[in-house]
Amino acid sequence: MHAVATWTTRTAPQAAVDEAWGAAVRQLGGAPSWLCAWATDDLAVSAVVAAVRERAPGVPLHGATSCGGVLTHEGHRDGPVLGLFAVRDPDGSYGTALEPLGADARAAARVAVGRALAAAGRPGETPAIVWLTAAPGREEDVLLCIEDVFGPQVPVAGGSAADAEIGGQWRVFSADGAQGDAVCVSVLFPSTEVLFGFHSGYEPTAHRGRATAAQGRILREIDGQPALAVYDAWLDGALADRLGRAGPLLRRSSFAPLGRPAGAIGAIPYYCLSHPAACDADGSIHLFTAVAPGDEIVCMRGTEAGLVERAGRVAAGVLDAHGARPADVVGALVVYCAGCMLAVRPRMGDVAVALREALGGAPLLGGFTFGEQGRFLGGGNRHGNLMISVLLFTRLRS
Amino acid sequence: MTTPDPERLREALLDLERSRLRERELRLSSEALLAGVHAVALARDEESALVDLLGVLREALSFADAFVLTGSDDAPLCCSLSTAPHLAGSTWARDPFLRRVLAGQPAAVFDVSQVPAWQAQPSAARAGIASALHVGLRLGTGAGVLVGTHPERGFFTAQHARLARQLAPLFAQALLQRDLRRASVERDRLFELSVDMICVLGCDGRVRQANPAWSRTFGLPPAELVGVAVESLVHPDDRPGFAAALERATTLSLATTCEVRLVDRWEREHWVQWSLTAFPAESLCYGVARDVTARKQAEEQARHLALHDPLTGLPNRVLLRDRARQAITLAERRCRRVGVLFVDLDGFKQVNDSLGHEAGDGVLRAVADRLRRCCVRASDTVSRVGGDEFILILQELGEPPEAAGVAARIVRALAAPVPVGQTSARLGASVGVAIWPENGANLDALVRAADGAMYRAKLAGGARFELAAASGPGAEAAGRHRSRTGAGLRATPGAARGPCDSA
Repeated sequence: MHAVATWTTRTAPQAAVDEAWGAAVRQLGGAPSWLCAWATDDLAVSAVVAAVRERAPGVPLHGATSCGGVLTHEGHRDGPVLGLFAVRDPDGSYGTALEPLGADARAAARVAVGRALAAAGRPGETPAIVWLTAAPGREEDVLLCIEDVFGPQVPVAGGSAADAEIGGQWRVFSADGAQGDAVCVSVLFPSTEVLFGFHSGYEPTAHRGRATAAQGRILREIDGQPALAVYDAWLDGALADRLGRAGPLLRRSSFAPLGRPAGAIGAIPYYCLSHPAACDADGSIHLFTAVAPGDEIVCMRGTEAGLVERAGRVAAGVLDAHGARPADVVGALVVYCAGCMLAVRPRMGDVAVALREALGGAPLLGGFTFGEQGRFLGGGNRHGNLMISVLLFTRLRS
Repeated sequence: MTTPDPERLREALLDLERSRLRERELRLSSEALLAGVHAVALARDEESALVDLLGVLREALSFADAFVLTGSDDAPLCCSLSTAPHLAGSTWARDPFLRRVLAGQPAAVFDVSQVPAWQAQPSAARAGIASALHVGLRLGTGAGVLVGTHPERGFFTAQHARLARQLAPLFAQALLQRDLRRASVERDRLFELSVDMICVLGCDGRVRQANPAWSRTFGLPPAELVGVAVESLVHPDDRPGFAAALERATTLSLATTCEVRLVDRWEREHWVQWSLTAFPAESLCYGVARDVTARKQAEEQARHLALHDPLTGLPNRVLLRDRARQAITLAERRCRRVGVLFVDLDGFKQVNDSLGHEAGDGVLRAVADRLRRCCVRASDTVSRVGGDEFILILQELGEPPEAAGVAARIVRALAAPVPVGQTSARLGASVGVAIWPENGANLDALVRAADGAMYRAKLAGGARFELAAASGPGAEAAGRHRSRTGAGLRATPGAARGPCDSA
């Protein structure tokens, strides 16, 4: 197995693809078996897809827009930018399918899974991992469907499509085209081991309560009080100016998201995070994850240093846990929460350095997402926010 | 002292948990391997080792049922071992899916109904199989697939596949050992049941192992053969040939065959065809001895029939010619003579006509017997060449009168009545005598001369003999011969012809 990551800041779709695709093919010595792409929404994504399809007929392409830029082993690149991560693995099988979510996200995901398996030539077979990209909004349904197909033990990793301004300009794309409200599923049957990690760099505070009114991704009340009022109290009035008014919360909540216990290691719980995106005048909080009445809500706390360093630490931890060395890594895909990226944007170069050091300079492509999917240690695939998901392609034989 | 960063502590805890889970996976894998090794090592035989090992796999991989597909070359795979009765004996085409598994890529299937290889197995649905795990097995020169099944959809994961791949070599080893054991039993049976006598010889030519066929056809229990020098069983006349074949086999490492006689404990001879194959590096030689006595007897009988008259058992013309050639060669070397006597019965036609052919055949047999027993030496040849015609070769004669003496004895012997059933027949014999080298240089000339003399005897009334007249190239040769030997043809008319005294 070989992998390369290439990127280009050319804005003309044909020229951008010529540069990124051409470099990938040259470095791989042939056409890839699977192609993953992140592009910023200021590129003409449909034209990019058409250009890739023209140059790489039959190559499965899995892509989405990323918030503001991409991450590579050479550093953080602001948009407009197109990044490609190409895997050449003749002994493996890879299949990708794009499906509009429509009214029934689960049904769409089921169709996408079936089509991806068929494209891989492995109908009925359980992949080593499922790589997922969906438009923000219904990731939980998509995950539930994938678990329903494969069972809960198959890891699912990925991130939600994003745009620069949370303006709904995100796109999910495959060789079949680019769509705004769609899900893209890739089933990976690599010939060597893939390792993955899913992690947050936040710690719980003593502030916690229970969701008493919630609907989908809107948290209305905590402990019978308007959610925003409770949240503001937990933050010592830092959001007082938002009380009674609708408005964005994303940037102001990046270091203090809400968490829900996702499991425990012994007596110590770990959390799935929800990033408050905005608030309504009635004190409801809009999140990037669903929340249900009865959920325990914990105020989490993070630091800039934590957000900068954790990507590298997650990657190093995954390697350590499997007794692998950086030299074993042939390439890495990284999903980094867009909210975190926005919070530490000036230091994203340090994030890239941390990853490069942890992975020994292996080719790397990262996207900034509006939701991250992965599998916690205790099992079960979850959709969360402010998380990092790392997928390492290795040369290890299982 | 710095206060530990809580976030770092939490991450460290997660790393520890991740490591713990990984170590748990490794421990479970190691324990399963160890349990597998124990199952194989402690099992009472290869069959139970396989069953015990399957139990270990079941515990480690949690499958409900399992079966093994095996096949050689590109042939379809066959379910050769199964805990699921529905699938026992099923055959599976080598489609891309199974080829991939055979090539070493384990496959976990979350829904067998979607996989073409399984769609071709309608019994899978009856067996309630929803998901399956497949791992390739290297089986010596062949290949196989171990399949674990489960009634729950999506039961198996990549982790199961990893563990299965780690355990597969142990299972393949157990399967191979069982198959080797079975093959060994089959070979042992073949060894026990073979009608050929099989033995393993050491480098000293002594028997190390022998099969029961030795007991059946040779009278020696195999145990008694162990340690015996195999050459001692060979007929003394055939030992040099056998020793040479054994030498060829061991020095040239070539499969060698030879036919010799073995002498059994009752001193009976058995013709056997040996096939000897040596493995010098192991100081072993494998011998297969096939009893060919019946063939040898048949060959001897066929050879006899080709050279003898079936009615009288006397040599026929073919053998007569050979004996004459030998006799002339010998006489030439030893300066002796050869007599050729042409005997034609007198009155045989009347016997045949009056008493029938069967009586005639009886007369011919009696005449042959009389000629053989009463008239000639054992070294002479009496042959029947036609209905009532006989030719005798008298070898190593000194003077022609010796032949005349034999002819006279014949005339006398055949003048006596020959019993035919309840009666008897009176016959006579007309005999022509030719002598080598006086009357001819070869058998054809001698026979012509003897025939002519016989004809004269017949014209003279029969019951007498006539000597052939010396003439032609044969006579010239005889002259040269005489000058070398100093002998002369001194036959007198009286001695050369005339009715003989009746017996």
